[in-house]
Amino acid sequence: MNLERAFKVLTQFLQGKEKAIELCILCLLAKGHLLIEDLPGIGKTTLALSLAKVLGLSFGRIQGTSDLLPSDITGTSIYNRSTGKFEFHKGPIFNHIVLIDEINRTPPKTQSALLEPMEEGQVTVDGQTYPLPEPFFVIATQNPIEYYGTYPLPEAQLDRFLLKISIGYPPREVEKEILKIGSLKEEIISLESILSEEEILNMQREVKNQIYVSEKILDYLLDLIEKTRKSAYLLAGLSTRGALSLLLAAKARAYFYKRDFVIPEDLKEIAPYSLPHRLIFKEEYKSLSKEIVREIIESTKVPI
Amino acid sequence: MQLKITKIGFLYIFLTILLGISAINTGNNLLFVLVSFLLSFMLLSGWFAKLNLRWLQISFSFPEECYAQLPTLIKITLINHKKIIPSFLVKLEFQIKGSKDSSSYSTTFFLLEKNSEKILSILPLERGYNYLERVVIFSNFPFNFFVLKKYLKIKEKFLVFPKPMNCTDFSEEFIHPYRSEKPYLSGEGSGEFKEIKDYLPAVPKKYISWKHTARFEETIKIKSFSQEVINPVLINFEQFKVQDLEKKISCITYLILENLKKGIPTGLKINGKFFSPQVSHLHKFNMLKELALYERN
Amino acid sequence: MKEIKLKNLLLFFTYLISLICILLTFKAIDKFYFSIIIFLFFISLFFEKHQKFCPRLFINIMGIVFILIFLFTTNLSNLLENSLKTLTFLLSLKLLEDKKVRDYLEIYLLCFLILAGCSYFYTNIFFFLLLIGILFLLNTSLFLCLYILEDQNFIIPSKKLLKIFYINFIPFFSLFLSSIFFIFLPRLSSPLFNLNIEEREAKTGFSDQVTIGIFSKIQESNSIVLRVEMEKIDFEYLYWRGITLDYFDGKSWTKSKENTLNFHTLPHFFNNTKIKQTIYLNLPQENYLLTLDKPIIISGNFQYDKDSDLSIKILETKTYPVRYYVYSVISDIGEEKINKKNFLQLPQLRREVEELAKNLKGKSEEETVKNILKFFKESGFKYSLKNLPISTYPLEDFLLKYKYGNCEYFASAMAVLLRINGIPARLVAGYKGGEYNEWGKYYLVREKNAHTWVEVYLNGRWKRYDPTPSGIILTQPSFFKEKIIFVLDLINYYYHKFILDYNLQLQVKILKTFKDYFTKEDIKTISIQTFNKTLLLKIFLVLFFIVIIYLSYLNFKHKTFQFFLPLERKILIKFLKTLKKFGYHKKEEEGLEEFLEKIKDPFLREKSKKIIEILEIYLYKDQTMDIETYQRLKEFLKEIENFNYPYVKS
Repeated sequence: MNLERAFKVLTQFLQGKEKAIELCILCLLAKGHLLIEDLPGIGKTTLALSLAKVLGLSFGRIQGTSDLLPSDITGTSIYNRSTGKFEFHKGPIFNHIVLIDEINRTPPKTQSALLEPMEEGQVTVDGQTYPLPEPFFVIATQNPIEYYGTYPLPEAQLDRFLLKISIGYPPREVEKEILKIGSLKEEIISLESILSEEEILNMQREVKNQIYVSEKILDYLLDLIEKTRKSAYLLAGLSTRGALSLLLAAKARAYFYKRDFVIPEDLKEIAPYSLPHRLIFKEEYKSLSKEIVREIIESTKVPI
Repeated sequence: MQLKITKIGFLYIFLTILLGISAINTGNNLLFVLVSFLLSFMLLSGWFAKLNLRWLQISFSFPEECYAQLPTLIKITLINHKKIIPSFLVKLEFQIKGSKDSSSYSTTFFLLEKNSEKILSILPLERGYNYLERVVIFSNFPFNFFVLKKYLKIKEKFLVFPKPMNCTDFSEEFIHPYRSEKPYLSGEGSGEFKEIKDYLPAVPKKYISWKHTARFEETIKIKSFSQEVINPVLINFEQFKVQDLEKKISCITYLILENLKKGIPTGLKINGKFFSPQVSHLHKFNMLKELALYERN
Repeated sequence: MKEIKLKNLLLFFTYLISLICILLTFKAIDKFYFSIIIFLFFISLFFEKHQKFCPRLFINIMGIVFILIFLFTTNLSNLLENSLKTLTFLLSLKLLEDKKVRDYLEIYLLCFLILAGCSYFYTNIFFFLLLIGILFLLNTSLFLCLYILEDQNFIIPSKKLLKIFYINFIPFFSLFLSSIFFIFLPRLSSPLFNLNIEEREAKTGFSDQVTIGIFSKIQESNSIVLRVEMEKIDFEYLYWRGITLDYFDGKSWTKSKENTLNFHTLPHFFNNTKIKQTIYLNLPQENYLLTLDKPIIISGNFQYDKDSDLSIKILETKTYPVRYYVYSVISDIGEEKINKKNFLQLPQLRREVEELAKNLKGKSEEETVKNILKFFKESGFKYSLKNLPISTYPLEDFLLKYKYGNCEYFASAMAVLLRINGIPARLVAGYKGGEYNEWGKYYLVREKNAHTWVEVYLNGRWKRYDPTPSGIILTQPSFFKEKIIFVLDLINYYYHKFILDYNLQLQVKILKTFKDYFTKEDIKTISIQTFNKTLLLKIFLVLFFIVIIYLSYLNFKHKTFQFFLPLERKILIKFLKTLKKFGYHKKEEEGLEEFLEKIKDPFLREKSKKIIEILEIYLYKDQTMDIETYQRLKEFLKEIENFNYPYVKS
């Protein structure tokens, strides 16, 4: 299967980041968007770029700055001297895979401009609506530490991201290898694509329609939701939309592991990446968000 | 394990003896029943009390960032490994000890089924490593006839940063602007108006100066803005002229925190070590750690 | 979620315990005081409702006053009653207060002391059961106090309330432990300080005289008079002798002083078979002891007098029930010398009676007796307990006019007729018959079994004759209700036997048995010999119950019985069980694949993976497993089971 091959090639290039690659692919399969929270220099860009290359998709990049304007993302109408008319020049958002670096540096207005493309798959500029290419996949990154002059993403915006992951430092041996070889940027650019647009769209459809979800799994998911809603650490539990996207991601994982049905582990594995940014924690537990989610998952009985 | 009998407990023992004597004297078998019940009750409540404190695991988690003299929260997790039986009214006492002073805290877990968490506010007294000591769990379960104490061999340490103190009076003199090859820029084009330039593609419409464009007719002109330059700061610990060491450390801590909050890269020269100005979180931690442990090891 | 304030729960328990304790004192204290205490109890309930309480100072002063009154009015004879009275008063005062944890504890102490005091007045097993119930309540309340001590307004979700009752394990296990203490606590044969505790038993129908013609109706009482542990004997021998009467004044039979002689005249009874009885006499019979027919040897923990007329009288005050052992003879015993004149005494009688008697005289004394019995049978005499003739000449009227009456009439008439004919005769008052409890192997004799019969001196020996037509038909219990009563009585009987009557002798005996058991080996071989069919049946029943309990445990654990599980769940449970043997235990919160991750051994892992992969399809795709797959998986499982794990502990 081509997906498998693509995964293999990616892991070769990005050693020690198997988990991140897997989650990345899952996100794409589930038609979601990905938020990476990590320190700079961990390899976020490399990941996005190589993903685009291997999947045979176009790639656009936006650097989040405090003066970034919505039009910088969506594109702008430019005056054409020969025709004497303003012509719409597509912004970097008109790509299959879009990397938005340091999204929390951009002002809220620009952040909200991302809502429409992410949710609807289209862009409206100057009253004109332009469809975005399909598949469309946004990878946004943000810095974990709140710097002066950052605009943390509001809950509504966070909710658009299917998963929130952090890549983390590579293991010692892998890091050593990376240091030995040096940056692989050039090799990545010369990577040949393994999948095509058509295939990816197909896979997305299959994930949506052909993965079976048993009653037991639904009950398990409901148990999880109930626990988040009753948890003493949380102000608000998981919304129905959140539960839906968790289930979708779980389906994608089932597909990734070549199953046509969801097992509890799918939910369990995905939940730590899908839940924390959707839950609203009480002030004193904010720093423990991951632990609390893990605790909730580990204390829920698995149906068998 | 240490057992201390309470007043009620002594009363209970007295009652048992009294009834025992009257039972033996009168030969009334119902009294014998009562006495034997009291005796076995005594025995079993001891056993249950012991069980109550058994199979308990306790863990403390300390905050990553906490400052001396400022209250902070710690999380205490008590896990009950007993399969069915819950633990009742487990009280916990411990001491947080700095280099000189110590303060004790206590909390109560009312009903412990599987595990339970408590967030407790503590006030670390001194900078540097603070130690968690003398962890005792005790309970007057089941009837307050006695208190059973169990001393735990838990010793943990956590780092407390110095207390930040605002000393605005001195700050200006001892902060040295730091020169590096690369100036720190706060972002593009947010500074003052600089000049009028020719149009470049992908420049947002708002920068187009329609006035100038109209004047030059053929080319679209855009406004360009200067970049705001932020000067990094280096604090030299040894040159900081405050007599009292603790106060000096506190002031510097405050300065570091304030600067970093404003996004000003700040460095520190201390004890022969040099931290070049940066704004990262890790960098802040390293500097504060150095200050916290100054003359403490 | 519903929440419950622990304080309210505690209050409820406290009032419940107090009420029970107060009600228990009903038997012990003055009715006047009792009603005051009940009144105070309701006042305190009223106070509780309106959250207004008596000032503490007032209560303390009242308490001190009562204690002083107690000290001044108490002497050794009324110690128990007075102290109970004071304790109950203090309790009702305490309830009037605004209660803190300390006050609760004081209330419980008072209740406990009241209970201890009341134990003198109740001998029924229901008191014992009530006592245990209160101990459980006290235990829970004491535990609740612990929480109230921590926080006055402690609130607990009602779901967790059950956890609180976990504390009742302590009294539950205490019950078992206390039975050991009970057996081995040191005992004395006689008290160190003697406190005179009054008898407070109700008067019974038995009296030391038999009077006829006064009552028109005799109440049939079901009260239990005695329980006799003995083997079952023929019904017609079941005559329980109480008192022998020899003097008749025309209305009443009494016991004359002359006959209170020694036992020495009794002839050789040593050859006769003796029946051993252990008798529990529940109700006092004017200090006479009841025995089966002719008592020969008596032993008991008291002093008594044996009369030559075979009646036995206790000489000291005893708390009932009284236990004693008797050896009796029911067959004929040898010749006995008596002073005939004493048993021929007669009052002034009407001539018709004397004529009647003379008419009944036969050739020999035996014939006379037979004639008299025949006379009662054939002249239309009827047994009755109702409409008994009330008259100044009851005997004459019975014989000549009414011809119906109860056993007393029949026996009196027969004795008189015999005496007129010069044959010595006497009356015996006691009980006849009884219900045999097969499980407990004892006779139960009730008050309604009271009976009177005649003993006639023929050929130098006393012979029993019962002229009363068999009006008292005592059948074995056949109805379900009666059977239940029988079982309840059995429990009560064992309660008396093993708890109330436990004493130094029994203690020594038990200790000796223990000692024998540990020193002698051959006891075990004996027990094997006595293995019989009933025992096997019992063992079978016990095993059956264990299986039932085990199955319900399984049911509890896996939600449904294993037999009815779908195949995939069946194989899953088997699989998990097998892996448990290898030390891999799947937690409930763990998924199957996570579980697989834990398995370290490559072989096990590979096999488990295969099984899990197949299982998952059936579990999470909601498909039903076919029998072939089931068999295949079973084979996989077998492979795992046969695999010799190198690290498995033996």
